[in-house]
Amino acid sequence: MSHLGEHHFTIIASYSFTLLVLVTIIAQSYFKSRKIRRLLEKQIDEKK
Amino acid sequence: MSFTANGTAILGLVFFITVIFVSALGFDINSTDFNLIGPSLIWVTALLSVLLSAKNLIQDDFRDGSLDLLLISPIPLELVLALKAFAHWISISLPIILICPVISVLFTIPFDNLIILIIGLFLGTPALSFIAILGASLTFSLRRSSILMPILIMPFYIPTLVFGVKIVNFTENTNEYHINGLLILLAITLLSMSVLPFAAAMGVKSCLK
Amino acid sequence: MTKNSIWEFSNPLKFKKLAGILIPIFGIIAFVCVITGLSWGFFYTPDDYKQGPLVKIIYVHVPSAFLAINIYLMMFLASLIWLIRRHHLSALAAKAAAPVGLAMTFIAIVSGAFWGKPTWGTYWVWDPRLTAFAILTLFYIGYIILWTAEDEPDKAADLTSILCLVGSVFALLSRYAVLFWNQGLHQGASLSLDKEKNVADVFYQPLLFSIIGFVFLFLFLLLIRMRTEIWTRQINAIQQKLGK
Repeated sequence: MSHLGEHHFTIIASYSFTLLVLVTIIAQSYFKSRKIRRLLEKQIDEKK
Repeated sequence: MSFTANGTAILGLVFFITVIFVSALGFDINSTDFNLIGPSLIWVTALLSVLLSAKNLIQDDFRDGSLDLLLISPIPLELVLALKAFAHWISISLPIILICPVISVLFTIPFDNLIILIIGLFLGTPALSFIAILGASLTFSLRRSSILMPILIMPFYIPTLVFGVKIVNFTENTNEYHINGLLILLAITLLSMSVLPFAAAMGVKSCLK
Repeated sequence: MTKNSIWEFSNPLKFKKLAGILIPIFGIIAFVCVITGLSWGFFYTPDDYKQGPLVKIIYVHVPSAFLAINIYLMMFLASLIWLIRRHHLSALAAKAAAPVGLAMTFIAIVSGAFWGKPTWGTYWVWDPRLTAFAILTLFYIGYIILWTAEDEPDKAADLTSILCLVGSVFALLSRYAVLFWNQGLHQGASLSLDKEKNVADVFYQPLLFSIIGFVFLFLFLLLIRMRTEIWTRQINAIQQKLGK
């Protein structure tokens, strides 16, 4: 039964990797979105 | 067009031979598996030779302005690009195929396998040149195109490479096995020759707008 | 005179409004479904009698692999629409989708490797399906790099669309080549996704949640990224006007 515990580690590792990649792509998308939006608002203000 | 490439042809061949020699020395000559790497090494080096000699296929014409002339000429651009690819094949891959029997001595490739290797190269390498012209058409006007083009083009080479090497098999020798593989190589080449000139022409036109 | 078809959303303004509404909705659905799928799958399903709990990796492996392929298909269609109808939003959609697709291939390959080692003894094998995924990863990377290599947006869209189109053709060709190749020989043991689809119901339901969650996650990210691209274009347009 102890080798089941070892497999739990593998599952957790793969789930963690998945979450890591997902969080990375979500964060990158979100922060870039925010940055561009701020830049756009700044540009619109400057235009006025 | 193709005869100015004769300098390239000799260079290409020398490149091929040199890389094969050097790579072969990188392996353990005394190990029993050494002879098995022959076909793979030949295919990979052929691939590299085609790839590295292809970057100027379009760029030279672009630089000296003759590309614009080609656009205006009555010959369709697709045909011009196809001919360029074909000329490239003749100047780079054909010498490699011809020198293959000599190179195969380095790896003591059995005669039957050598035949399959050579036919495979003959059927598969035109695809490499046509794919290369597509790569050239997409990247000739970009900066750092010489490193960019191999990166873009390599994945397209993988099917041809895999099948080309796979059929030169030392254990399974059913005829069907070899013929299926050769047919696939031929299919890839025919598809490349028919589709890619059009895609390449699109690429050239969008860069010259 | 105004047509009520999906093409009206190729207008960036209308798209932005739609995106504004859909993004939070998709985000919530994605979050709920993924969490449900994964926790249900991990905690509340029994261990498979042969593979132990390891089979639960399918809850990340299958959705990511499924999306990796389908995102490329979506990019193929978007590229085609760009080349034919010249809707800028279409080109932007493909550009926005690519990094998500790449992320999916990473997840699929790594989760597959984690699954493979204890089950079949190896992290990787050069069988057709895995090789195809390696090629797909390279296609994604090349596509993304090509976008960064050209500044002029329309030209970049053209080049990347052509690359994607040819890539799809080659992907299809390879698939049929492999099928043709395998016909005469025995079907080797492969890490086939079809096997997982035949799993028992008790495994299947959380998998459904997981897949749906991932799909909505993709749509969520796609809309956010497309909106960012539109804003970027606006900035460039303003800067050009200011520069004159």
